[in-house]
Order: sequence, then C-alpha cells, then structure tokens
Amino acid sequence: MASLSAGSRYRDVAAWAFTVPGLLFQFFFGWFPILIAFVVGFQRYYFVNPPEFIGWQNFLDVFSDELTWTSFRNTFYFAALSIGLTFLIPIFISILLMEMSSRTIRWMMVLWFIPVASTAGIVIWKYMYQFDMGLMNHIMRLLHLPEQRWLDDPTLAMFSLVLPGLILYGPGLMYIAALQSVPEELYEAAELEGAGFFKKIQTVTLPRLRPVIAMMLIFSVIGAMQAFELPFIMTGGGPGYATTTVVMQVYNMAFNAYNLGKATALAILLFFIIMAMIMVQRRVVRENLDD
Amino acid sequence: MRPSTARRVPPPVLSATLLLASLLPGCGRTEADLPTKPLTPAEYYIKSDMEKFRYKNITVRVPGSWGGVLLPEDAGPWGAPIWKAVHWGDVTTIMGLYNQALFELQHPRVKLEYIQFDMWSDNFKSALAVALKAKRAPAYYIARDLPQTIEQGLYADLTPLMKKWDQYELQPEGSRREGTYNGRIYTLAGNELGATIIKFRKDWFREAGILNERGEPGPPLNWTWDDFRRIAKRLTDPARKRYGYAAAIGGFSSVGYLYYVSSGLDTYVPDPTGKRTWVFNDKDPEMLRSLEIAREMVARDRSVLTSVSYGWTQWHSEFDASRAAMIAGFSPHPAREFLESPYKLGKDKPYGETVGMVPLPGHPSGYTPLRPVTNPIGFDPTLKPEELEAAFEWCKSWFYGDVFVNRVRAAADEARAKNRGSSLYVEMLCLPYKPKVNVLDKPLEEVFPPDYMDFYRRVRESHAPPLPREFGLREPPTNEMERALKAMYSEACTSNVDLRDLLRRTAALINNNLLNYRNPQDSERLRRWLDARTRFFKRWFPRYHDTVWQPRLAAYYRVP
Repeated sequence: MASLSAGSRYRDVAAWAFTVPGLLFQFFFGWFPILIAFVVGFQRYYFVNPPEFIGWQNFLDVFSDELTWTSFRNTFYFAALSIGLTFLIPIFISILLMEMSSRTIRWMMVLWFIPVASTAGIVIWKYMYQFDMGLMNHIMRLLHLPEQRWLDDPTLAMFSLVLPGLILYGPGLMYIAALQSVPEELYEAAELEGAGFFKKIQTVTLPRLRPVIAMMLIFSVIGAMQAFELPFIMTGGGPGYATTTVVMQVYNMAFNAYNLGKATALAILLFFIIMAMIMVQRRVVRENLDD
Repeated sequence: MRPSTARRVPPPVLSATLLLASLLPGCGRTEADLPTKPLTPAEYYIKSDMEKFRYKNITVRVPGSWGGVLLPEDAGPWGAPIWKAVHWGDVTTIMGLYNQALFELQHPRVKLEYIQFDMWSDNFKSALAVALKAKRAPAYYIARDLPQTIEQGLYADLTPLMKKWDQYELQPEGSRREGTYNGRIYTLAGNELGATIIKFRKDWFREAGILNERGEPGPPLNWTWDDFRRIAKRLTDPARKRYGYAAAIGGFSSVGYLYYVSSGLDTYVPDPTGKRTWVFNDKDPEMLRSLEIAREMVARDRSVLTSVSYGWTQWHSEFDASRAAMIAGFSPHPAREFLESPYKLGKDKPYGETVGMVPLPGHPSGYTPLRPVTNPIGFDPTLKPEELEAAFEWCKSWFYGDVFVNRVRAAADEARAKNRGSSLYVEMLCLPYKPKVNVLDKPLEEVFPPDYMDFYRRVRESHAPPLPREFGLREPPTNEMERALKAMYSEACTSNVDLRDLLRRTAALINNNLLNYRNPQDSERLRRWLDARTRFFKRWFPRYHDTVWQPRLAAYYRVP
C-alpha cells in the first residue's frame, strides 16, 4: 500500500514536472498576451511613456474607421478565395492522386512539399507576376492570352495573392497521408455493393477524410483570416487598399501610426470574429467519424 | 524510517553560510567605494584590476550596426575569436577594439559594450520597444518616424547637451528641424549627409542628345516637372524595354509624390473651420494635378516602370539592369557605388561616366526641394544623465573625433590592401562635421566627378523650411499619411476612377482617421509656424514667395 501511494505520488510529481514547463510557456506566450491585450485595448498606449486609460475610445475609433471595414471585406474575400482554391482543390487532387501508382504518389508528395519554404517562395512569385519579364505573362503570351497586370490590377490583385497558396500551402500532404490510412477493405466492400468511382468517394473517401478536413478547415480559416505576409511582401496592401487585410491594418496601426491601443482593439475584434466562425464551423462540420 | 538528523545542516555551517551571504552584497560596486575626484587616464591606468573594474560604472551599449564592432561568432581553428579576426586581416574589427580601448582610457568611468542590434529590418520598432522596456536597448539608435516617436517618448531630451556642443550648427538644417519638438531637441544628425536625388544614365542622355547648360549629358541644372516628364517620355523605348523612370507606385519615389514635393505643396493645411488642427490639402489644384500627372505618365505615356510590389530594392535593380533611365535615390549611394563598384553597370561603363545625380525637379518659380538631411539618431530615454553624456561623447568621437580618424584610416588601409576604392572619400564627402585632423591624402575634387561635387556643394548650401513640430503642433503619423497617399496614387494609376472623387474619398479618410484632433493652443501655434515659413520663403526663395506662396497662403492656409 505504501509503495503504491509512493508510486502514485511519483506519477503525480512526474506529470506536473512534464506539464508545468508547457503550461508556463502557454501562459506567458499564449494566454498572458491575450489578457494584456484586453487591458491595452482600453488604453492610449505609448512605447515608453506611461499608458492612459481611455475607456472604449479605441473601439469607437476602430468602428468609425472606414479602413476597418475595407480590411474586413478584403479579408473575407481573401479567406473565401483561399479556402476555395487552396483548401478544396487539394482534396480532389489528393483523391485523384490515390488512383496513381505508389511511386507517382511519392514523387508528387515530394514535389508538393518542396516549395513550402514560403517566404522565399513569396518573393519569387513577386517576380513571376512582373508585367513584362514575369513568368506568368510569358505563359499568357505562349497561350495567346492577353497579358495581365497581376498585382497592379485592383480586380486581380487578391486572386494573384491567393494563387501561390495553391502551391506553397500544403494541406494536400495531409489528405494524402489520411487517405493512405483508409482500409482497403472498405473500398472492396463498396465495390462489391456495386459502387463506382464517384460513389466510393462519396461513401468511403470523404467520410474517412472528414476529421482531417474539419481540422484543416479550422486551420485554414484561422490562417486566412490572419493573412499578412503575402499582401505585406507582394503588394503592401495595394493597389489602393485592394489587398489590405485586417492583420495588415493592425500592423500599420501599431507600428506605422504608433497607435497600439487602437491596433489592439482591432485585434480583439478579429479574435472574436474568428472565434465565432470556428464555433459555427464546429457545429456544421463534425470532426467525429461516427457523427 | 531514516533519521531526520541526516538532512539537518550543522548550526555552525548554517551560521557561516548566512554570514557569508550577508557579506556578499558588500562585494558589489557601490558609489561610496568610488573615488570622489574623477580619475585622470593616468591615475586610472595605475589602479589595480579590481579597482579599475569597480571604477567603470557607466555603461554605454553601442549597437553593432552603428559604431560597434562584433568579434567573429566562433574562433574557428584559431583558438579565440580575436585571433581569428587578426589572422583573417579583419582590420575594421581590430580597429573597433582599439577604439574601444582608447575611448575607455580617455573616459575611465565608461565601459563600452558592443552589442548586436539590427536597426534596418522591419522588426526594429517592436524589438526596440521590447528592449527599452527590458532596459536592454542600445544607448542610441536610428530615430525613425519623427515626430511620432518623440511623442511616444522613445528619445532622451538632448537640449542641454546640444547647447554646449561646438559642432551643433554644422548639422544639416533639415535634420535639426526633424528632431526638434516644441523647442526641445531629441535627435542628433548622423554621419551620412545627403538629399533625395534623381540618379540618371548619362550614356542614355548623351545618346538622346539631352545636354544641360554646360553641354554635359543630363537634365537642365534647374529643371522643372515639365522637363522631367518630357525627358522620361523621350528616353522610353518600348522595343528595348527601356523606361524613362522606375519607382514605387506610391511613396517618396512615385511620380505623383515627386510632383507635389516639387511644387512645394503641403499634404495638410490648417483647418479653416477650427474643428481640427489640419485638413488634407485637397482644395489646392496642384494636388489634383499631381494625380493627373501620375496617371498620364504611368498609363498614357507609359514612361514609368512601376508596380505596387516595388520597393527600394526593385526600382534600384531596374536601374542597375539598364531598364530605367532615372530613379529616385539618396545622394550618398551613387558616391559610394562610384568608389566601391566602379564597373557594376558593365566593364565598358565606368560608373562616374555612366551615372549622374541631380536634385529633384523644381518649381518654375525657382523653388527647389533640396532638403539636406542625415539619418537622425535618438538616445535611450531611460539612461542616467552620466550615461547619456558618455553616449553622446562616444557619438561625437565616432562621427569626427579620434574614433572617426582611426576607423577611416583603417578602412583606407584595408581598401588599399584589397585594391579597392576607399570608402574614406565618401565618408568625407558626406560628413556634416569637421574632423579633428585632415585624413585625406588628396582633395575630393580629384576623386569624384564634377557633377557629384557640384551636387554636394548645392546640398550644403541649401535650407529646409520650418516644420510644425518645432512650434508644438502635432503632426499626423508620417507612415500612415504616406500609406494613404500611396493608396491614392496607386489607385489613380491602376484604375479609371474619377480623380476628383478619389481625392474626395482620400480627404475624407485622412481627415477622419489621421487628422481628427485639435489642441486649444493650435491657432496661435499655426500662426507662428506660418510666419516662420513666410520668412523662410522670403529669404531663400523670394520669387516663389511672391508668386506662389503668398497666393497659396491666402487661399489655403487660413487660421481660424
């Protein structure tokens, strides 16, 4: 009995010993900044001088700022394009890839993975979009299609930003990995039931992918709603404000306008909007295979 | 159960430990232990190691990218980083250590710490904010985004130090004005004096027969915006993919921005209703004209190579790749490239014969937007007075004192050994201050092309107009204002929107977001600022004052 209790105590201590560093890390770098944000959002905050409490003023400023709504519109547009292009298409490509030989699958996985070195990739895309020397217009000329001012056309700029994500962002790897774990017997059973290619996708593949899709969708929505590097590096938010996203707006308010309070208020607004979206999404797209 | 006495510490040991612990703080450096009379270098030199160590109680953290040198990170096969620097022939680093020792000898209480602190990346502002809060910031750093960063409390007040500095007046006027806020001085001018320029291809000007009054290839000496547009169009050759001008689509190098700078136009003017301090200057027809010009040159003439994705590097790359005849830049760069990369445009194209520089186009009335500036330096506001003074002394030595003389000599020696052009001449060309000794082995006229020397003569003779901040007037955030202008110009150049409507929208946005404030004393301050500006224009640009400024003042600068 005594040794059992000592063992149990040891396990408790060990459990805490392993958990506490992670908890502390999570507290100081995850929860604490969120708590602080809720304080700074109500302050006129200075880098060095002491902050002043100003109540809801930062939030009122955020709501009355036309750029807030422009940036939210752009962000939703970016998210829709991004999820449509870089989230859904890879699902179908992965399913089709599974029909190929395992050697082809391996090569495709390698090719899909290589360009994930994203910042370098983004910079290269900037040159690819160049009007008279870029690869994209070279391809357009080869196809006898009109040249485009990819990043400089307000109607095309957002699409041009999302396009690299199709290659740079690699959810396809996740889908392929998940698909490889689907038991072959399920397909064989479906075939015995007379299911064709599309029926098998509908009844076996997509349901088995659902947990991964649900998880990846959450990541995609969060990622798209926090889009920053792509527009920051490639367009600086232009032309006009056509590609200014909410996080860019937060960055500009904080480090260009030195208005940390207003920037934080906008970040808090974005936080609640993403939370709401995720909650709705979790109700609509169930992660559990059995639901 | 094991006896508990096994873990008990014997009382004598415990007492001794506690006693020792209570004595330990006394071993630290305390002010009381230090000599009351400041030690001379000679007195300091004969002290023991421990006394020297304790006497040095003023620390100046010198950033590696601006004055400090850092030893190699690893020793390699040489045993110690310093030996690696020696055996590599890293003269600059060794001279940096020498200068550290010399300065510390001259100022016995001061300890210099060379630290790594990047000032040129996008992360600088956030890194600095964190470093200041953590009391780990460098003693001085580049002062960006003035005057907002002064309002943020990012810099120490240098007024008392400046008042007793013998070279204060040598700082470029533009830099002095930038760092002055409501009569107090917060920044020190750095060492790279220059102005915004148009860098141009002399060989293409020669080919096109575009010569200035002296018969040299280049734009007229007092060129105007019309000249700029005509030349850009003429040098554009679609077949050879050559453009007259390359720039970002908005921002300081963009066509529209250059136009309104050339016209002496202000982005914001006093709000005549008194509701705010400022309103966006959309009523002045020149602002609309700047949009029209931008659209005409980019979309109609197609003489400008531009994109929203262009930054400083891209438009400079277009120039270096022989795709643009002109670009905007900062005057020390061509001078540096002339010495350090004399054949960067091709073996048959010596830099000085191929690349020229001129001031921005001016106004037909004679107004020239040639504003001499340097990178301003601000000091950590949390420094103690003696630390601030020591950091200031170090900067002076680094800019033009003993440290300066040593480091430029080291650079010259290194360049000679490597058979490269010495940066010493550029340092001297762009130095606003007077070094203690002459370090040049020949006059600068024998080094640089005449047009470079002529440009610098004009820079040194030029003046900068008074800024609102000097009179206690709050200015809108510079970067955000530039962002709004960039958005406006990029929209004008990339879409077919009605320009008047665009101007109205921009005005509404800027007025509501960036200019929605007013201080009760602003009317008085505005009047004082406008009086100072009027005096400035009358003194330095009399024709512009009579023909442009006075009508503008009456029409758009009404103070309630």
